[in-house]
Order: sequence, then structure tokens, then C-alpha cells
Amino acid sequence: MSADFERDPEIVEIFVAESLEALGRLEQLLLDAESGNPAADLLDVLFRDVHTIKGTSGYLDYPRILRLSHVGEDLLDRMREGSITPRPAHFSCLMEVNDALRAMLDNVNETLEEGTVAVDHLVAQLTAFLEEDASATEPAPAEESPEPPSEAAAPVAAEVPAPAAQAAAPAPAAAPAPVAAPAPAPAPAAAPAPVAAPAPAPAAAPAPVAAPAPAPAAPAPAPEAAPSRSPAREPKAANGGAQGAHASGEGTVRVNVRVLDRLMNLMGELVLARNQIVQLMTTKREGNVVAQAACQRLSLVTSEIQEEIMKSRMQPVARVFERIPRIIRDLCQATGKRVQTQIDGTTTEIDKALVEVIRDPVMHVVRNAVDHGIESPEEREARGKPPTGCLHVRASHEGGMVSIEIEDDGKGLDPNFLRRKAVEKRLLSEGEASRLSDREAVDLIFQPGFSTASQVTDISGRGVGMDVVRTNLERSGGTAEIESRVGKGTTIRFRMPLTLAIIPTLLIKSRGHRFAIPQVNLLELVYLSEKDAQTAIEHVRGAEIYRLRGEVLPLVRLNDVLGLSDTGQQHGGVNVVVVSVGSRRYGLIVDEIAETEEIVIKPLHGELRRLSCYAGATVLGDGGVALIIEVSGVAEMAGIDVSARDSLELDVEAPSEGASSEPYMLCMAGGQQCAVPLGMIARLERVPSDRIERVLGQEVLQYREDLLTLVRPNELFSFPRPMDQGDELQLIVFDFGQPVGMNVDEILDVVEVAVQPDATSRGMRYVQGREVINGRTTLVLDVYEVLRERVPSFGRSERGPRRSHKGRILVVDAEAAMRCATASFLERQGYRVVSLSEGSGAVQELRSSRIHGFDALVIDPGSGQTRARELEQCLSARQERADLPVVVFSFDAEEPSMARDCARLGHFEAVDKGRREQLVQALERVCGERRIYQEVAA
Amino acid sequence: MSGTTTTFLRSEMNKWATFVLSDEKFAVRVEDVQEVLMAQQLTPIPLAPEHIVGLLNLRGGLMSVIDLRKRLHFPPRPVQLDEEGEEDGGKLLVVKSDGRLVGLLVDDIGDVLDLPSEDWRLPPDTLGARHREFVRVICPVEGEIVMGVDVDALVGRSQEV
Repeated sequence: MSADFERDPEIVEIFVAESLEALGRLEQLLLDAESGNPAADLLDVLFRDVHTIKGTSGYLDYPRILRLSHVGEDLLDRMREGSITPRPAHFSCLMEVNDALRAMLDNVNETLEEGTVAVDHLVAQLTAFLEEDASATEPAPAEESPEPPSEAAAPVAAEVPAPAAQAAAPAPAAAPAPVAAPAPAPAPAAAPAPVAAPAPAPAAAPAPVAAPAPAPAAPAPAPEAAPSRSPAREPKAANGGAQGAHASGEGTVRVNVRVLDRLMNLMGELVLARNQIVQLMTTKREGNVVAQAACQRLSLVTSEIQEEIMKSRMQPVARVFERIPRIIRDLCQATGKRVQTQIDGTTTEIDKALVEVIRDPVMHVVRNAVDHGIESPEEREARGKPPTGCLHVRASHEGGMVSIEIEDDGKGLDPNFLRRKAVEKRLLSEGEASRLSDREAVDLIFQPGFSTASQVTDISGRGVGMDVVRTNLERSGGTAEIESRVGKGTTIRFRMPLTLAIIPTLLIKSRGHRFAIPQVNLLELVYLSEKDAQTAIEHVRGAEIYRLRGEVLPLVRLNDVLGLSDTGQQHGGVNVVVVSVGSRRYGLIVDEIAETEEIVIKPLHGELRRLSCYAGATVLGDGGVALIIEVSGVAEMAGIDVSARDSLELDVEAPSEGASSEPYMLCMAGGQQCAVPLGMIARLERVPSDRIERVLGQEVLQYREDLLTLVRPNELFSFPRPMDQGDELQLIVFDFGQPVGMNVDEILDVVEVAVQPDATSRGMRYVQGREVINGRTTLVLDVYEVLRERVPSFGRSERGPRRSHKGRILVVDAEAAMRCATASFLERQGYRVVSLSEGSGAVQELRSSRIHGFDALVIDPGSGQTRARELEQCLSARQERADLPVVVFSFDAEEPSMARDCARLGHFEAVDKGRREQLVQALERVCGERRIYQEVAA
Repeated sequence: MSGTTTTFLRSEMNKWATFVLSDEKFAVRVEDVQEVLMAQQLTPIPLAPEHIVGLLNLRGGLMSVIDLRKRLHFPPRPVQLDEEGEEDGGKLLVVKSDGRLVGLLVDDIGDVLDLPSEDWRLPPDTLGARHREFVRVICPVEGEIVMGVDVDALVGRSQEV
């Protein structure tokens, strides 16, 4: 090759991309062949791929790649002709060839040079295969004799292709695929470019680009093997791409990733500029109509461009999965296990940047699953499982996120073992460990320094890993969850946002400064009026907490964390932004909720990068700047341990089987263990017994400027022994408009139980059921019934003079900003509001606290599938509470489709979201009706 | 002249942009300066180091602003009123460092001077250590001393603190 030959970096880049793609395909085919079901045209495809690499590497002057691929090609060619019968040893060797080629291509990719990867032994081995078969094969020797010098052909080929390529024109013309490329140099640029292009199929026709160059040098009938034969029975990966490439010769263009990145950045700027213009136009309403229209159009087009650019960056998750089969093969060989892999949803698309983020975690989990999860064949058989383990990898889109599940049917994680391990490693005390639910115990594997393998192998089990996996995912707005059943297997689920570049956020204000909270972290917004806040925010060991539907949320004041001075007086209500970091949640108290806005994250530099409370900053539509809150960083700074659940925090998510379990407060009263639904408890109090007064035959005590009615359960039940009559009374306080205190002897614990209605307790009053909890028979109290019976005014208090609000409204709206707006509007109108993001939450709310006596449900059912689901939830809410007034509050309220869809609900009011003053009227109407209904019932 | 100083002065151009800080004159190389702005409303960054006084939207891009008085441990700027009776918040010297823009809040901007490298001297030993890391060279000009400031040290150093 001439010394002054200069490689065109662009061509090299294409060569690398294409060759790596071919190698990926090759690997898959070899694995298939090894596992005993070779693709029908296996050898053709293999040959073609290797041939392509050989040709281009010759042209680009990569002698090692050329030598290796040349000999490999020879072997494959002979197999194809049938003069050599493929043996496993061949495939193993080709696998190594694959690895060596990959290593060299990686070098080329980085340095433009192929490096010094050792290929001699592989060349020798391949040559040996060729020779041994040449001498062994029956009649062929004569025919084959011109071929054996093929080892010697290497240097020859090295010289031939380049001049041929430079001489160019006539050679390709002679090849029977003239369409593919007129001349070698321009060809690659114009050639189909499946990798970078948004085409869904991950692979494509390997040949056209390189075929012309090597054609003259190739000893074998390459050209006809190349572009023309691409039969439908080709393995799935190659198939779609090949066809696509043929069908639309100019339909795809290879675009440099850097161009896409740049486009993406510019897109961000464009979106910001658009936001600014839109904001300007809306504030200056008198602006002329033409400008308004142009602005609208700009806005629309920008959104569309944004979407398209996003799409262009999407890549199938197949790119994440491509190494899995190989890794499993190697692991199986190393461990003697047998694993069958199934990979689904490979066409699911995800932003290119996230492919990189998620690849290592997936590989890590796959390795773990085979190394630690799936048992050896003997062990499996002993347990009555098929000897071959099963690893199922699934990718899918799920509500704006990409979900990747890796499921094995191995031995699963034993929660007890994990608890012991945690104690051994001093991550937890014994008490703490024993209090963990099984789920929480399994979750321990995400703890730093927690390795479960009793034997450390060189594959995995070094005790670094799962914690890093989770941290990395969470940094990109993703989550990692685990589910495991002993003896049955383990499922690990990753969820990632589709893209990172432009994210929806909620803007909030603290001390006049605006901050953006990414919506991925946002669960819901809760507004507590000044009065509610005094009681709803509780103090536990100096920390503030808030009970949200039974779950204890630690509260964090953003102002405190950021050291913002507490100037100005504390104004009325409290805004709690409920956020999640992975599976943990906490409430962030902010001064003010503003609007939602799509923003472009701009990283902070220098020292600012060290501030873990910020994920970056952004320019807002009005030109202002807002810092983006890093929810996990803020939690850490506030001292919330985001990697472990606070022992107070209770998991209210229903377990997958049986009745849904709920948290209960365990207490002792008169020697009887009782359970009270935690969701109903406002707080616990100890009061001196001499403060009790008697009013009209009822025991009351003055309590926070209110009158608390005292209920003594020993008057309801015949307890085994009398209740304590000490100087102080332990009270469980309920507060549904008026405080009621139930006196108990001792508070024991908080437990999670699924209470089954029990036939023997059916006749017992004030009891929901009986359960054995912590080894003792426990009465599960029906608090609702107790209160109704013992507190005559209960349930009618809303007509009383102390009633401070017009009614309790449950607002359900998936759109955070609207939900928040509706809630604060209703608050201002004098209602108490609980707002939720979706209907299932509403049902839970109604179930756990039906006596809260919501006066109405205001719901935006959304549209399409969401609507069907929300209405379904709404219906079940109605089943819980038949008389629950429902107001459909939607921009589509007056659409016929809404009337049709909602007809199932029976009675409901519909109000256009654009006219919210009508919402008040509707609520007054329905609440009024309900009050009358109750009076009649009473 | 020490190695770093010669590197610092190794510039084809001898033009220096001067600015005033607490009645003292400083200079940065003109190539490092992108533009000069009036001081303006910044978005403060809670918990940031004291001398990083905020973020600024510069035509859609974000720029952090360093108060040089704080950086160089000068006393805070006294409140001064301009002709219209408005408070003079100083000037923003927008400089490039390491491929990004950083705003330097200074009292005032001076002339661009032609100061050939042979006129520069090493700063006297009496210069405080806190300044020595930023002030690499000094140059007498018409009875005044101009202190040559290393922008990368001002900005880059903040990355290590």
C-alpha cells in the first residue's frame, strides 16, 4: 500500500459502524449455530459479512483485520461449498475471530489504527482447519489445490484491493451489482445507514458499501453473494434492514451522532426562544392578529420539530441487549449452567444517550441472574425444575417511560438470609432487620456494600454493583425495583424516561426564587390550609412528618435546606410537593406552586457542580433563570436516607396476592390487643386524666382550642381485665372535623395486615374482623362504627357552627398543574381539598377513610384509555360510597363522548374546565343534595 | 521571569482590557473578553460559594457571575449613585475560560491598553498570597500599576476549591 495513502476518517467511521454491526449479527448466528439451530442460510450470511469486512479492511489498509477476515472467509467459503463440514470447534474459533476483529475495530474507532491485537494464533488455527480438511476431504484435493495458498493469499490480497479500488470504475461495473455503488469512495457516504438512522430495524444489508472494492480481489464469487441475495428467511435482524435498504435506496442517510447532538442542543434553544415569544404574545394581548397567528404557528411547528428530532435520536433497545446472548453463553460455559434466553421488545426505542446509561446496569443484572440466580442443572432437577433455566428480558413503553424487565426462574432471594446478612454486615441492627417487610428485605440488595453471593466469583459478587446500578439509573431519572420469590425466581425492573434533553417540570417558588422540579420525581401536590397544617404536620423525634393515606412522609422545607432566610411572615397554608426518589417518597415544602414548563437542562459548572441539590439550571420562557432541583440531593442534604426506608414509612402498596394489606396501629386495651387502621388516626396524645370534664353525659376535654370527645372502648367491649386508670390517658385521636379520642392502655406497634372479614366476628359490634397479629388474637376495630355510636354529633358536624369549611372535596386530575390550580381555587372558595393524580388513589382514599366524608369527587377523567380506566376507578369509588357526588370537570365536559362515557356513572354533574366558577355552583348543588339526603336518612 | 509567567504572557497580541476594582487597576487579555454588560439582575444560587453571585441568561445561554471583589477579598462595593440617581451596580466583564463564558463583576471598565510583554514585571513579593494566585504580572503605566489577571486561574481555580 502506498505510504502516502491517507484514510478518510469518515469512511473509516462508516467501516467501523458497519463492521461492528456485521460482527453483532455474526455473533448471534454463531450462537444459534452452537445451540444447534443454525439459520438456514447461516453460512451465506456469515460469509458475506466476513467478506465485507475483509474487502474494506484491505481498501483501508488494515493488514491484521484483513489477514484474519481473509482466512475466516476462506473457511466459511469452504463450508458453504460443502467441502468442509462445520464442527463446534469451527464455531468456537470463529467466535474468537469475532472477538479479535471487534477488538481491532474498537482500536480503529478510537485511534484510526487497528493496534496490535494478536491474530497469529487464530490465523494458524483457521489455516489448520483448512489444511486438515483439505487433506481429509474426499475427492476434492485436485479442485482445492489452487486454494490452499489462501494463507499466502493474505499479503496478496493486501496489495490487490487498494489499487483496484483506486483504479475503480471498471471493476465495480463488472460486478453484477452495479446499483450498489458506482465508485468506492462516494459509495459509503451514500449507502444506507441503518445504525444512526431512525429506522426501527437494528441491522441492515451488509454488502453494498464494501462490495465493489473487494470484488476484483476476492477469490470467491462475492458480488452475487452480496446485495442480490437477501432472502426472506434470513435471520430476523438482517431481514428487515436488508429489505428496507433495498426498498428505499435513498430513504436513509447516515448522520453523524455529533450532528444529532448539536441539533438537539439547538432544538433546546429553539424551544426556549419559542417559549419566550409565546409568553410575550400572551402578556401583550393587544398585539396584532397576524402576529398572534404566526406565533401560534411557530409554536406548533417548533413542537413538531422537537418531536421529530427526538425521534431521530431514538434507538431500539436491541442495542442494549445485543451482547446478552454472548455473555450468557460465556457464563454458561464457565459455570456449567444451562440457560435459555428470551428477549422481547427489542424494537422499543429509547434516547441514544440513555442506551449508554442503561447498558451496563442491564448487563450487570443479566450476569447476576446467571451467576447467582439460576441454579446448576443438577440443583434445578433436585428441586423439580427443568434443568435449563430461563432468562426473560422484556422491554416496553409504559406511560412515557421505557421499562426493562429481567426475569429469571432461579432460586430467588431469601428475605431471611438478606436480613441476617444485613445484620452481619452491620448495615442494620437486629431489631431493624426484623421489622423489615420481605419486600424491604429484598430491596436490601440495592444497599451499598451488600453482596449476597456467599461465594465471590470473578463474574459478579464483589459487593459493588446493585447500589451503583440504582444510583446510576436514578441519576438519569430512572428507577430500579426488585421482586423476588424464594425458589421461584427474581425479576428486576428498570424504568427510564424516554429522553433526558427536554424535560417537563413543575416550577415552584421559595423566597421569591423560582426552582424547577422534574416531573419524573413528582407524585402529587398537597395543599394544607393554615389550620390543617397545624395538626396535619406532626413531629416525630424532631422531624416533621405528614401522613398521606397511611404513608408517613418525611417533610423537608426547601427554604431550610437551601439556607434561604425565613424573612417575611409565614403565610397561611403549606404547599407540599410529594416527590419520589426511586421507591422512596418525601414531601418538599415550598412557598408557592407556579406553573409547569418544559425546560432544557443546562449543566452547572465548576464549583456549582458540587451542589448536589441542583441538577442544573435552565432559562425559562420569560427569560428568567431557574435552578433545577435534584430531588435525591435535597433529600440527602435534609438527612433523609434515600437508600433505606425510614422505619416509620409504611408500604401501602397492595401485595400481589390475597387481600390488600393496610397499615394498622396495634394497641393494648384492657388486656386485649386491638388494631386501628392507621389511615384514620390523626395523632397520638397523652393527656392528664384530671383534664377530663363531663358535658351532657359525655366525657370531653379541652384540646387545641377544640373540644375532644372521649371514647372508652371498655364501655364497648368486655375486655379480659379492666383498663388502666392512671394519671395520664393514652389517646388515639381521630379528627374528622371534630376531634375524638379513644383511650387505650398502651401503643404497641405499627403493622401491616390484610384483614379478612371473618365469619365469627360478623355478629360482633364495632369489630371489622379478628386477626392473629404478632402471635396474638387481635380485634380489628371498626372505628367508623365506634364513632358513630359513641359520638352522637358525629357525621352531622358539618351543619354545626364549628364547621369551618364548605365541604371536603377529592380532586382527581392526572395533570399536575390543573390539579393544583383546581385545588387552590376550591381552597379559596372555602372547601377542603385532597388532590390525587389518579383514580386508583381515589379508591384507596375512599376505602381507607370513608368516614372522612368527602362531600364530592371532582374528576377529570382525561381521554381515551385513561378515561376508561379513570371511570372504572370512579365506578369502584361509587361502590364504596354509593351516594358520592361526582363532578366531571374537564375541558371536554360538554362533548357528547364525555356524556356517553360517563353515563355508566349514573348521576353526575359535568362542568367545563374553562369555566371554573360553575364548579362552585355544581358543588354547592351536589353537596346540598347530599346534606338533605343525610338529614332524611337520619 | 518564571515559566508560568512567560506562558501567561505568550500572546501574539499585546492588547489588554483594563478594569477597576476598589480603585486599583487590573487587566485581562483582550482575547479572553467577549463583551461588557451593565450589571443586571442575577438569579442567586443558594449554597453556592460566596463569590459566585448568581446566574445570568445571556441570549439563551447560562453564565455564572463571579463578584471579583469577593473573589479577591476586597471590601464590598460601597453604594454609589449614578447621574440618574440609580444605584451603580458595576459592570460585567464577560470572559471566556475553558470554552465557556463567565461574568466578572467589576467596579468599572477602563481602556484597552497596548502593553508589550517586555514591559511586564513579576509582582513584588509584598503582594498578598491571596492575590498572587490571580495576579501574575504587573505593569507600570503612566505612574499607575496595572495588574495582569489570569482569567483561567480566577475561574478554573474555583473548580478545585
